[in-house]
Amino acid sequence: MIYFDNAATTGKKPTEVIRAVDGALRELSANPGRSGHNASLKTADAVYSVREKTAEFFGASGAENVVFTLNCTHSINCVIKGVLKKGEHAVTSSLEHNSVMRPLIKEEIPFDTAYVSLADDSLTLREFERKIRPNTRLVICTGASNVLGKTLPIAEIGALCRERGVLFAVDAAQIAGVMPINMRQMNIDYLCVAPHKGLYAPMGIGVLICQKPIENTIIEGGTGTNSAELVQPEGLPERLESGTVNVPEIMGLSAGIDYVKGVGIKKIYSHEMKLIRYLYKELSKNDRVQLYTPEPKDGLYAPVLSFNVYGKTSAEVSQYLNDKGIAVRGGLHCATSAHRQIGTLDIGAVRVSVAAFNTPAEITSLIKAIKQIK
Amino acid sequence: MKKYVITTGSVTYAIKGRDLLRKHGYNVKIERIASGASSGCGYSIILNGELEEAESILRNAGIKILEINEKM
Repeated sequence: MIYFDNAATTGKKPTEVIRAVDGALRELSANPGRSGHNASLKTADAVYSVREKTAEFFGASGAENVVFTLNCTHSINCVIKGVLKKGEHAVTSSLEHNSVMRPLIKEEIPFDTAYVSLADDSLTLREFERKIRPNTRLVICTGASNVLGKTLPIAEIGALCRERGVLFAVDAAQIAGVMPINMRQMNIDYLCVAPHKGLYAPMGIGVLICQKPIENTIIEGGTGTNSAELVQPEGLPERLESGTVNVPEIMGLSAGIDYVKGVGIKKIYSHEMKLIRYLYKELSKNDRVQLYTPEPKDGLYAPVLSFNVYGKTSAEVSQYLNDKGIAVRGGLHCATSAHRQIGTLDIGAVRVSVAAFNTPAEITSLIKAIKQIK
Repeated sequence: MKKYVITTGSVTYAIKGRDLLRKHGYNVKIERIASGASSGCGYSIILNGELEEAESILRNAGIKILEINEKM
């Protein structure tokens, strides 16, 4: 199977990650932060070291600000429901995943949508400038569209939010581990991470890094401390980490960060973008293929490309490719906003997303398979 | 030399404080307390050394201290 569904989760995990998970199950089997015996403290130390490593990797201040969640969607929910109070306004973008849109709708948050230009970031920034109101409390947007790969000018939006006194949260599902992120330099207050994607960690763990407080919690319970009090502790990370954390996957995350740092985030990104551009150029020559973006350039796009074949639905093309041994994702990708922008709500799109392990030969196979569609 | 029990808000802060004090050359370790602090279970840094400067290092790093007791 040729795997091109890495925006959903990286299909191949580095050996180091698999070993780290296995090692944790064998050696770190005591519950961290619950007991006083040496085995518990050993696990707590190991978990703390991953908080430190994660904070450093994303340019955040303080290991205690790194919260381990269930997944990136959980992290986003913690921010939207924890920060916004009734009547406070939010701004988001036109390319958001449902993980942002659904909590905003459910909580009945008044929000405006900034249109993202697929070709000119200055237009996107101007949109955000226009949408921020005096009562805007939070700007929350994706780092890159999971459908189109288009990145948002995060550093510029962060500077704008700082200037206007607005909190800034980034859904980094498609960029964490793919493109460099420095929370302090980019003025990001909350970073929501899907470690099982660009950081090659196992599925089932998320990260939320908070540079500002989260007032309300969405889950309360045991934290191993302050047990005599029946109210949730104030301090991070425990305030947002009720229940036992996923130690094996936290260790997998640690090894994933080491892998990305070891190979080099810029080297991986450059490799992935070369593959995507190769695909883009070849598909551009195919009259039966519809593309939706300009040619993806470094820094302006994540390694994700969507297309359609005229006369076919994305589901038909995806199934055809699956039958040829190629895994891509058709449909709406849980991102109706992005599909509305490109006019594909009815047929969806075929998404190709690459990772470090993909090769030019695999892209060649995909191009050949698409040419053979009847 | 006196020993002190510095109770923090969480295991995260206890580890952070322990590592910080070790960097400053202090002889410290972590112990869990099942009771004693007003709020119940928690983690403490056991300090073998001068309290005043150590406490200042912890507070300057933003580490919330719940209680400090001399260890008998």
